[in-house]
Amino acid sequence: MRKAIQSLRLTDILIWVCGMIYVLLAIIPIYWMVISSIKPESIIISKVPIWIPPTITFDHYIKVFERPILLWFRNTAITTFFIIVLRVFLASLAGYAFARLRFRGRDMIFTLMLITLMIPPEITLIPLYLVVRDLQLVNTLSGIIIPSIPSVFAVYLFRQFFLSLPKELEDAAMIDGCTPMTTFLRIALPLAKPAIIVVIILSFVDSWNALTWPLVVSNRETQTLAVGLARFNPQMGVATLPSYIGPGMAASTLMATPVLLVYFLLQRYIVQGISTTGLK
Amino acid sequence: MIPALHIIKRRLERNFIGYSFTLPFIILFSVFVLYPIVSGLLLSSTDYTLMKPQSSFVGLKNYIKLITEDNYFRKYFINTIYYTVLVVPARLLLGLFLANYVNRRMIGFSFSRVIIFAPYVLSVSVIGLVWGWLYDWQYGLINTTLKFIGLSPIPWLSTSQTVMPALALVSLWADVGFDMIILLAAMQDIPTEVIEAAKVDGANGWQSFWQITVPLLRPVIIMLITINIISCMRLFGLVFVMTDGGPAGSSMSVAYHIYRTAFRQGDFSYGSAMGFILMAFLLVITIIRQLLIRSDTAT
Repeated sequence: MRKAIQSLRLTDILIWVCGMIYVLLAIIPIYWMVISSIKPESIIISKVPIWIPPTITFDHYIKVFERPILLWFRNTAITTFFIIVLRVFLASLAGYAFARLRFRGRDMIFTLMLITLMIPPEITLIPLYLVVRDLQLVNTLSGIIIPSIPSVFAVYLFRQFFLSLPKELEDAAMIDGCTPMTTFLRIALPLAKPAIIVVIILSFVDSWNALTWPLVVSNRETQTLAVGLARFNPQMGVATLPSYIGPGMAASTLMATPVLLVYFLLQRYIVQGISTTGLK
Repeated sequence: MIPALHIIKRRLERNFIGYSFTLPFIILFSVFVLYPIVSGLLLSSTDYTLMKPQSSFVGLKNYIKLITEDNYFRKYFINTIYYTVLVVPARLLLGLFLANYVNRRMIGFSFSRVIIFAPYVLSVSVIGLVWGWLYDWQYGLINTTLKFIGLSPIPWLSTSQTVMPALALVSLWADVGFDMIILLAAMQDIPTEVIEAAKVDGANGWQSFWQITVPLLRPVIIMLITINIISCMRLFGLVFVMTDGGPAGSSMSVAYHIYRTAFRQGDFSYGSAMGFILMAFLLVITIIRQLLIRSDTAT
C-alpha cells in the first residue's frame, strides 16, 4: 500500500513538472513579442538571447505610427463593432424562433444550416467574392461586415440556450396578451444575457483577428489590423531585416493587447463557449 | 368548414411569425453562405477568368485537369496533408496530457489553463509575425539559444525539409489549448467512481488513464480529430504571413494556392474547382467519422 502511494506521488510530481515546463515554454513567444517591442535594435540583433534588456526604448512604437496603423485600427474597430451588434441581434432572433416558435420547414432549415458548418469558408472564398463584387461591396467596410454577420454557430448557441430556459414565463406573457415579438424582447432576451455575452466575446475575438476574408475584400483604405500586420514584413521567411523586428513586435503587441485583455478578464465565457462548440 | 378555416388561418399566422423572426438571418445566410456553394459549383464547370469574363461551360474539364495533370496542385495537396499528419496527432497527445495535468488540480492548475489557451485568441497575423521572428535564422530566439548551448542553428523556414514541421510546431502551440479545453470538459463528465473503482482493482494511474479514461473519451476524441483535420486542411494564414509558400513551394497549401490562383492570376473557375476537391476530401473524412460513431453505438 505504501509503495502504491509513493509511486502515485511520483507520477503526480512528474506530471506536474512536465506540465509546468510546457506552461513556461508556452509563455515565451508572448513574452518575447512584448520584450522585443521595447528592446533597442542593438539588443535585438544580439548573438545571445537577452531576456531582460538593460535599456528599453519606445522608438519602435513611434515607428509603427509611420504606417497607417491608426486607420487599420479604426477599420478593425468599426467592422468588429458592427459584426457583433448585427450578429447578436439576428442570431438571437433566429435562435429564439428555432427553439420556441413552430413554423413550416423549421427543422429542415436548421439542419441545412448545421450541415454548412462542416464546409470551411475557404472553399467558397471565390464565389463569395464574386457575390460581394456584384453587390459592389468590394473595398468597402460593409463588404467585410455583411458577409461575416450570418454565423450559424451563434444561432446554434442561442437556440440551445433558449431551449434550456423554462417556458412558463413566456407562456404567462403570451396569456397576458404579449405578441411573440414583445415576449422575445421583454422576457426571453433579458434572460439570455449569459448567451449574449458568450456570443459577443467569441465574435469579438473572431472579427478582430479575421485575416482571410478582409484580405480578399479590402484595399489600402479599408484594410484591417490583421491584413496590415500580415503584410508588415515584405521579406518574411526569406531574411528578416532587423529594422522590421522592433516595429513588427510593437504592432503585434498593440493588436494582441485588446484580445488578451478581454480573454484574461472574461476567460470563463470564452471557455464556456468553446466547450459548447465541441460538445454539442 | 368554419373551424377548418380558423385552423388554417392560425397556422398561416404561426408560419408568418416564425418566418419574420428568422428571415433576416436566413436572407444573409442564403446570399453569403448557401448561394456561394451552389454558384461555386457552377463556376468550377466554366472557364471564367478575370481576362475572359465571357465564360462558357466546360463540364468537368477543370476537375480532370486538376486530378490528372496538375502536378503543382498535387504537390500542394500532399503538403497540406503532410502538415495535417504532423499537427493532428501531436495536438491530440499534448492536449490529452495537458487536460490530464490541469484536471489533477495541482498547484498552479488554474494559471496553467489560462496560459495554455491564451495563444488561441491571438490573430494568425500576430502569431505569424512573432514566430517568424522566433525562427529567424540569425537573430531569432530559437537559433541564438541553440548556438548558446553549443548546437548548430537550424534554418527553420528556409529549407524544404524543415518548413512544414516548423509551421506544425506553431500550430501546436497556438491551438493545443482548444483540444485541452474540449478534453478537459469531457474528462470532468466522467464520474469519479469509475476511476476510483479501477484504482481499487489495482490499476495504477497510467493504466487507468489509458484503459479507462481514454476509451471513455473516444467519441470526443473522434470528434476532435475530425474538427482538427478540417482546420488543418484549411491552412492559409501561417503560410501567407510566414513563408509565402516557400522555399520553392514546399510550404504551399491548398487554401493559399486557391487564393493565389484566383486573386493573383485571376483564374476564378480553376481556383473554385480546387475548393470543391478539398471539400470532397473533407466530406470523406466526415463520412468516416459518422461510420466510426455508428459502429460505436452498434456495439
